[in-house]
Amino acid sequence: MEVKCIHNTGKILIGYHRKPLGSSAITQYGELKIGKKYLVMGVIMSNGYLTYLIDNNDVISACPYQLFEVTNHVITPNWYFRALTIDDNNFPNQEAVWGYYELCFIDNHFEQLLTMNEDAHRIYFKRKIEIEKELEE
Amino acid sequence: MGTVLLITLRDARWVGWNKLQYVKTLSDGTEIVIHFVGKFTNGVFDSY
Repeated sequence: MEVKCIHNTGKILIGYHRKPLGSSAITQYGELKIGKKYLVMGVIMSNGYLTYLIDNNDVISACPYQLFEVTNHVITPNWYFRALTIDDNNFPNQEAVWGYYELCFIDNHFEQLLTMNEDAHRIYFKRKIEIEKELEE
Repeated sequence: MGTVLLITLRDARWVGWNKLQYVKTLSDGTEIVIHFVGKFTNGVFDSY
């Protein structure tokens, strides 16, 4: 699945009931470049709103879906799905996850991605190469 | 202002606080990622 960034500030989110905590018109998603396309490595439902897991070089982020338009709707068959419950450590920051295996089933993987853990990044980019190859076929 | 990361701070010093990220691109294209903690009160950014 591929998306193109069409907004990189929180202005577009204002009218939505469910949006990231603290988002406002001046919230900046500095890792996003308008017009640039990103491979979606996962989709995460968080606190009632949907985010896409993408990367801009070394910066991996989960950004609200409203900032993008989908340019390729094809999803790799190697994605998994997991619905989390109130008993899960990451709930409600993660309520549902679609994506590669480690993103769905290793509890601290997502957190390690966002906090720039080297091992987690290595897994992410390994999976990214696999997905890129699948989408080429 | 930066964006709130979708993680729960487990450090006892920061219970109830959020971790935020601000990405700045320099004129030479270098990206700097700044992480900081902040607290929201009634959905409004209160302190950091």
